[in-house]
Amino acid sequence: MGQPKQLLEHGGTTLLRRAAQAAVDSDVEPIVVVLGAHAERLVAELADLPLSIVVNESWNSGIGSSIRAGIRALDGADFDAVAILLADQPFVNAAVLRRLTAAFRTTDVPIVASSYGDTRGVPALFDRTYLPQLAALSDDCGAKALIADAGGAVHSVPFPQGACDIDTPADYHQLQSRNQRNGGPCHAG
Amino acid sequence: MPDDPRPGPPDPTRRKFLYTTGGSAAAAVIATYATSTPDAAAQRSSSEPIAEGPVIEGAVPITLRINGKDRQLRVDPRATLLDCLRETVVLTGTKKGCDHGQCGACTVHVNGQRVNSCLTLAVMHDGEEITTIEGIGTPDAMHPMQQAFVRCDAYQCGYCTSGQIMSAVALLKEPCGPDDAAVRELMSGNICRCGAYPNIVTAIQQVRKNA
Amino acid sequence: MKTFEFVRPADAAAAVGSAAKARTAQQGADVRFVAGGTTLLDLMKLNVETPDRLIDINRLLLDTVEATPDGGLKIGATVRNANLAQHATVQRDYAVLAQALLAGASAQLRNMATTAGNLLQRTRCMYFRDTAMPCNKREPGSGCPAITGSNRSLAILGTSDHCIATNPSDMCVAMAALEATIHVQGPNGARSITIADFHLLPGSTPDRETVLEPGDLITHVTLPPPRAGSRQVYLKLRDRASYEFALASAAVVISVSGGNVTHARIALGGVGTKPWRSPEAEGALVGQPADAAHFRSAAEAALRDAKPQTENAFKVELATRCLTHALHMAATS
Repeated sequence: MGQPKQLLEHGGTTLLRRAAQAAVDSDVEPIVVVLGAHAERLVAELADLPLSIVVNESWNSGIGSSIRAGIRALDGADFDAVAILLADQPFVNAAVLRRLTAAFRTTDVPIVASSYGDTRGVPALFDRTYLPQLAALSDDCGAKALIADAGGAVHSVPFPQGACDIDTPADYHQLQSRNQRNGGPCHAG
Repeated sequence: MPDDPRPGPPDPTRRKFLYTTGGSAAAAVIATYATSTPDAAAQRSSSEPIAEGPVIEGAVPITLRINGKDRQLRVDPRATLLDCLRETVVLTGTKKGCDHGQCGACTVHVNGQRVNSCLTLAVMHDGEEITTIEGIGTPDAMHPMQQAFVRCDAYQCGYCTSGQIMSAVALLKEPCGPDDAAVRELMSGNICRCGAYPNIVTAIQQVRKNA
Repeated sequence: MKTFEFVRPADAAAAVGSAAKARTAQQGADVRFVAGGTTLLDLMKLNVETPDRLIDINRLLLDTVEATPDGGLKIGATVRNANLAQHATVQRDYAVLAQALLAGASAQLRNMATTAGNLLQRTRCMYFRDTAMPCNKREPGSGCPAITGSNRSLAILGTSDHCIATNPSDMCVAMAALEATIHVQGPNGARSITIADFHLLPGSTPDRETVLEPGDLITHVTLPPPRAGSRQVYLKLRDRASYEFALASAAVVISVSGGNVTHARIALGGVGTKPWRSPEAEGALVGQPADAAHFRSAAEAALRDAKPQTENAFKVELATRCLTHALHMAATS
């Protein structure tokens, strides 16, 4: 029996904590982590970090439901923009997030997204005017769908290592073996 | 989909341009979800701490305590403290003017002392305290020197200003005669192409008098 | 910038060992010690210095200023110029050194620059600093374009047909007048070198600037006990009021008794290829009345052998007046 991929280790820490630490170090706040499966085991991973945890009981219905849960948890907080990130992109770090927030300050468009490969996706920053849309995402739609829909209202920040995300055991082994080398996505294919 | 109108251009007055602090008015949602769970047990990889910075041959791991916060970084040994702050840590308040220690735009504090960050290597400061303009004050809680610069109109284009303020704040703790000439002498390492010097001196003297 | 290995040895012996096999300690060195780095990094960015290894000596605990048993002063190699200038003993007993240090660079640079680094400061000659230009100091045998070219800021004393580059340090001029001794730890043990012998004239080998050999690490500088009642002045003349190298400068340490100069140590800056101690001026002063005429003739003696370049003949008179005035300031202080 395997373990939740969020608990896979890379660079001395788990993928989940790595993502949370990136948010903490980049000075975004407040931070909401939405857990789904195996929530009890994952909560311990985030023990001493300044963030809130929300458990999405219907995680099984799709990523959209988790993002909706996260946006609901932010209700009432004061912020100009919300960053959406996942816990399965091991190369996301504080510097990457700060580049997004820095770009957000200088551009007029409401979305700043990471670009890698031939696509644009998370981590991404949405102006607060997008909160209604994020709060109304359908279950199977993630932030990526909103970005694709937004056309020219998106500013891209290149992040080639964003193409590396851990979906399968092969992805993980690939990541471990390339840990000593640099550059490029880590998919087996 | 509900009948939400397509969002228009965001209200620019809501955006807080926080360049001087490097802070962010952004929240974050980290969504996790399980799709498949790998069968193999995760192996513990090398106990390298989370480090910001490029993964390149010969990169050196260092820790810098920047504005009170420990940052673990991976840097090219050739990276100056200036380039490390701007490019790796993405604190762009410190400016690159001449890159040769001649203009002072890159002035930061290392262990409380003002230095030209362009003429020192990041690797030389492993474990040391670095203070940048972002750590001096925030728009809502400006350092008295920042307030004085605003009040006295001590800048025009603003490019030398971070360095001027960092230099001036450090000057407050250095031996300096009471007169304007002494201040000018001690600030001679910061040049201003716009010629805001008279107001810079006024600002500094105001802060010194009220300290 | 060429890539290099960065090492931080645990102690001075390890630092010496790490540099001992360098090809040279002079221009073109493949191994360099780094302390403040203000000259070294400046030149590395220009590719004038291209070491393969940098040895960080900042944490070798060479950063103290202490009294010596004979009543003099011991100054660690990595003492920052700013701290040395503000040190109470230096201000009281070696005022010419404090004045020289504060006349140099900018506040930021003074916080970074160190004693040893300042001893090894390199010329600001624009041809030396430009790798597109020939330069006998940087590439022996390639020629000296300054002699027939742009040489307003270059030297009039100690020059040769191969090189006319000025030594730009203020600290060294004061230390020359104070008769400092430089202490070095090398692969074969420790030794001491008077500052007069430390820097070399360019001659036909301008690429060799000091007597240091591979592995030699400056550990500290000592100053002899101060002469009671000596008057000390550092006067620096330059195009700008601050943060500019000297066109001409003078360090004087004199004792006056009964209206006569009883002791004099004089050095010039901004005009020599090395810090320019002037026994000619000293000889013309000691035993003579401490008055304007004798100050002037001593200054003229100091510049008698000056060889002006095509663009800096003014330096002869400027340096003469600089020294004359410094002597006057010291005598009336």
